[in-house]
Amino acid sequence: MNDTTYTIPVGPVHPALKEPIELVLNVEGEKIVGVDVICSQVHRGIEWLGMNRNNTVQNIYLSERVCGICNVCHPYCMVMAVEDALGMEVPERANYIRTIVAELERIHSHLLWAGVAAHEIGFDTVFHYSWALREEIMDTIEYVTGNRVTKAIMMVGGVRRDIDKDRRERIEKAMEYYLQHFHKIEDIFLHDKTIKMRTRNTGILTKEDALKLCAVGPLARASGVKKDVRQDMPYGAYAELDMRAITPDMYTGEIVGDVYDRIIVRLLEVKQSVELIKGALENMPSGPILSEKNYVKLLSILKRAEGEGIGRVEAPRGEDIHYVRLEKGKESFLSWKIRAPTYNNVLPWIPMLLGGEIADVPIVAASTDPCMSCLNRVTVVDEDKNKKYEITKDYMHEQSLKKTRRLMRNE
Amino acid sequence: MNEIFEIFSAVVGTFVLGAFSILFGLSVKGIDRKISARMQWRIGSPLRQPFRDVRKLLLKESVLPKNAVSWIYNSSPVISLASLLTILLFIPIGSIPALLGGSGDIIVVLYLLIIPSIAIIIGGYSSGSPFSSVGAQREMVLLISYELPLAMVIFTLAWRLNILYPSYSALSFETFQKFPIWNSVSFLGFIGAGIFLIVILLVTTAELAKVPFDIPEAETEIAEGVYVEYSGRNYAMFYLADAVKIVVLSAIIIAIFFPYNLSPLLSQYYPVAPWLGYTIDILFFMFKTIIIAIIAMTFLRTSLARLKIDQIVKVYWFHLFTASLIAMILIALDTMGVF
Amino acid sequence: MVEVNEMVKIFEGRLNCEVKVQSRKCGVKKIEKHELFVRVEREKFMKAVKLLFEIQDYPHFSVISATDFGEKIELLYHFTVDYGKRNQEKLVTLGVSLPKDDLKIETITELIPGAMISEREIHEMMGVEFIGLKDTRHFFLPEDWPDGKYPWRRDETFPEEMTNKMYERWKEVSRDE
Repeated sequence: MNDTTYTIPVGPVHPALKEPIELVLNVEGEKIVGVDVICSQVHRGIEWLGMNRNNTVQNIYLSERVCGICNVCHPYCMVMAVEDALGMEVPERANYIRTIVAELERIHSHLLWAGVAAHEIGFDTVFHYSWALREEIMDTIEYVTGNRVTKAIMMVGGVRRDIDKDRRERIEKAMEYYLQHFHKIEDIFLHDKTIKMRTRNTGILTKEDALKLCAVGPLARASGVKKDVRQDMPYGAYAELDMRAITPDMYTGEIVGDVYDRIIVRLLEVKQSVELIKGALENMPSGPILSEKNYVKLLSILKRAEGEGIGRVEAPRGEDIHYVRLEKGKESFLSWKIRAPTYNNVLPWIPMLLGGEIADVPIVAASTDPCMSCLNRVTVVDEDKNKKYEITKDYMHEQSLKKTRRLMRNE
Repeated sequence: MNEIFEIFSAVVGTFVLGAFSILFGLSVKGIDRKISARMQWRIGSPLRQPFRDVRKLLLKESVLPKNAVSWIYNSSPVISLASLLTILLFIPIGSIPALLGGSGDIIVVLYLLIIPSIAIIIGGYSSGSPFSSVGAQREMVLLISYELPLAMVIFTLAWRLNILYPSYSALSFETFQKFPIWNSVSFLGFIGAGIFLIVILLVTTAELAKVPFDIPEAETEIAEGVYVEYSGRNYAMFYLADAVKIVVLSAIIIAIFFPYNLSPLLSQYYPVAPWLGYTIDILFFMFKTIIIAIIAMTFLRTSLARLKIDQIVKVYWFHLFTASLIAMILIALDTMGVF
Repeated sequence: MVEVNEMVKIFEGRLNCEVKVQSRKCGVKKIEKHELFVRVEREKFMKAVKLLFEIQDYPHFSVISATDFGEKIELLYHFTVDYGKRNQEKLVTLGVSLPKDDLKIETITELIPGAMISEREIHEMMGVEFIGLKDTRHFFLPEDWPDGKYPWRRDETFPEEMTNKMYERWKEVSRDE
C-alpha cells in the first residue's frame, strides 16, 4: 500500500452485487492491485437449525430455502445424503422426475445469469431479452410443480408430485419454445462485438488455479477442467441420458478460461438441458414415485436410523455437496454440512481480479454466478455488542409484532 | 430607451428559453425512455416520468456527505445547469436568431460546453467518496477523449466556409445558418461532411454520458460514479442539466449540419404569418432534435454494451480521429479543387 | 486411475487404518458409486492427504464437516478423486478425531489453497486451531464476535444467550398487552 493506491469498497451493498458480499479493492488509478473478500452479511444458520430444531422432513423444506435459485439442488442433495445414510432405494420414475425438475431449474438459472451478466456490462437490452425468455420456463415450473420458485417436490425416497400427461405436454411445449427462440440471445452473446470486447481475455482463470483453488461448475469447466457430477458420478437418470461435461473448446476449439468462455459453457448447457429434458420425458418409465408413502412410518425409520451419507448434485453453479449424519433416537441431524458451489468459487475471484480494471469487477464477479445466500448460512444476534445501534433487532421485532396486532384489531 | 428594451427582452428571452429547454429536454428524455423500453420488449414508463422524477427529487432532502467540501459540492450542480442554459443564448433555435448572437461565437459555445463536465468532475472530487473520485477521473479521461474529434469537426467546417465566404465571420452560427454546409461542398466534401456528422453524433453520446460511453456513471461498476453522493435538489439540478444538454447538443448539430427551416419553403406556396412561421420552425426544430437524440442516444444505448475506459480512448483517439482526419483531407481536397 | 479395491489396500497398507467403503447403486442404470471413509489418527493425517496427491495430481477438495461428539470433535475432509472421467469419480473422506482439550491440526492450505474458506469456517464455528493457517480472521461470523463462543458446539461454549428466541418473545409481548 503506497501513496498512489487507494481502497474502494465494493459492497456489502452495491449495484453490481445482487446479494450482500464485500470486496475490498486496492486500486492504482483503474488497475486492481489487491483484493480481499469479506462475507458474513447474510449468514442465516440453516445448518444449525437442521442440527438443533427440525426433523429430517422439515429439513427438506429448510434446505429449499438455502437459496431461491438453487431450490431443487439443495433439497435434492440433502435427500440423496439421507438416502445414502439409510441405504434407501429410489423408484425409477422418481429419479426421472428429479432429473427433469433439476434440469428445468438449470435452464432458468442460466437464463437468469445471462441477464445479470448483460446488465453488469451495461447491456440492458439483452438483460430484458433473457429475462423475457426466462418467463416461459418459470410458467412451466409453476405448471409442473405448483410454484414459480420453491418447487417443494423432493421427499426422502422419491418425489411428491408426478408428471402426468398434461404436465408432460406443457414441458414439451416449453422445450419447443426454447428450441425456436433460444438462438436469439445465443446469437447476441456469442457474436455481438461489444460483448466480446468486454468479456474476451477478461478475468482469466488458468486451469492450474482452477484446480488449486478447487473451482467447481461452469467456472472450472470454462478453464478446461472436465468436471461435472452428472458425468463423473451420475445420479438420477443422467447415466441413461448420455451426459457429457461441456467445455468451451467444443465451440471455439480453444480454452482461454475468460468470461467469454464461461458464457459459452452456460449457453451450451442450456441447450444440453433442453436435450436432457426431452430425452428424460421420452424414456420415463411408469411406476411409483415414492418408496415409502406413509410419512409417519418414514419419520420413525428416520428416527431409528444411524449412519452417515453424502449427497452430491451438479447445481447450475457447480458441485453441491451435503454431508448428513443421523443418530439413533435423534429427530434432527447430528451433523449437517452444506457446501454450496459459491463456497469454492469465491476464492478464484482473487486471481481473476488481480491486474484487472475496476470496470471488470462486476462482470468477473458475476461470471462465477455467485450466490451469497447459498454461501452464508448462522443467525445469532449478539446483543451485547450491538449496543452501538440504538435499535436492536428484538426491539424492532417487538414493534413489528405490536403493529401487526394493532392492524389486526383495527380490521 | 432602446437599450433598456434590449436588456429587458434578453432577460425575458433567457427565462423563456430556459423554461422551454428544460421542459423540452425532459420530454425528449421521456421519449427516449419509451422508445428504448419498446426496443427491449418492455412497456416502459409514461412520457411524463422524467417530470415526476424531477418533482420527487426537488421534494427530497439534499444530503451533504461528511467529508464533502460543501460550497464546491453544492455549487457544481448549479454551475453545470447555468452554463448549459447560457449556451442556448448563443445558438439559433428554428428561425429565431440567437439571443446573444452578436456577442459570442462557436468558440464560446465550445468553452461553455466543457464547463458542465468540469463542474461534474469538481463536484465528484469534492463529495469525498471513492466511487465519485473514480467517476471524476473517468469523466476527465472521457472529456479529453472526445474534445479532439469535436474540435476537428467544427474548425474544419468553419475553415471551409471561411474560404468560400471570406466576408462573413467564419465561427458564427449565422454563417452556418446562411450557407448550409451541404450546399457549399461538392461530392468529396459531401462525403467528408457525412463522416463529420457521424463523428459528432458519437461525440454527442459521450457528452451525454450514455451507454456505451457512460463510464463516469457506470451504475454496476462504480454505482453512478460522480453522482453517487448527490441527492435531492442537487441531483435534480444535474438531472435537469442532463435534459438541457440533450437540447443544447442537438441544437449545435442542427445549427451546423441541418440549419434548414420550413417557413421559407411554405411561404413560396402560401403566405405565412410571421408568428406562424416561427411556430412552425420551432416545431420543426423540436422534431429534428428528437430525431438526433434518438439516433445519438436511444439507438446506441439500447444496442450496445458499456465499453471500458481504454477502449473508449481508443475509439476516440484512433478510430474517430482517423475518420475526422480523412474527412478533413477530403474537404481540403474539395476546397483546393483537385478533382 | 485406481480401482476402489486397490485404493482401500493402499490406504490400509500405508496408513494402517480402517477404511469403510459405502457403495450404493445409483440412478436408473444402477451404477455403483463408492464412498470411502478413511478415519486416521492426527499424526498420520498429512500423510493421508499426500497419499491422495499420489493417486491424483489435484484431488478435488470439497469441504470440511465437523461433528461434536462431546469428548471429541470429528473433522471430515471430503475429497473427490478421478473426476472428469465418466462414472469413475470416487469420494474419499478423511476423518480425524480431535480431543476437546487439544483442538489442533495442521493446515492443508499449503497443499490446497482452496481449503482456506473451509478452515476459517471450522476455526470460527468449532474453535479448531489450524497450525500454519495464515489468515485466521472471521469469515462468516461478524468481526466483533466474542472469543470463545462456537455456534456449532454442543457444550458450554455454545452461545445460548444469543439465539433468537422469537417464539418466546411473541408470548411475552402478548402478555404485556
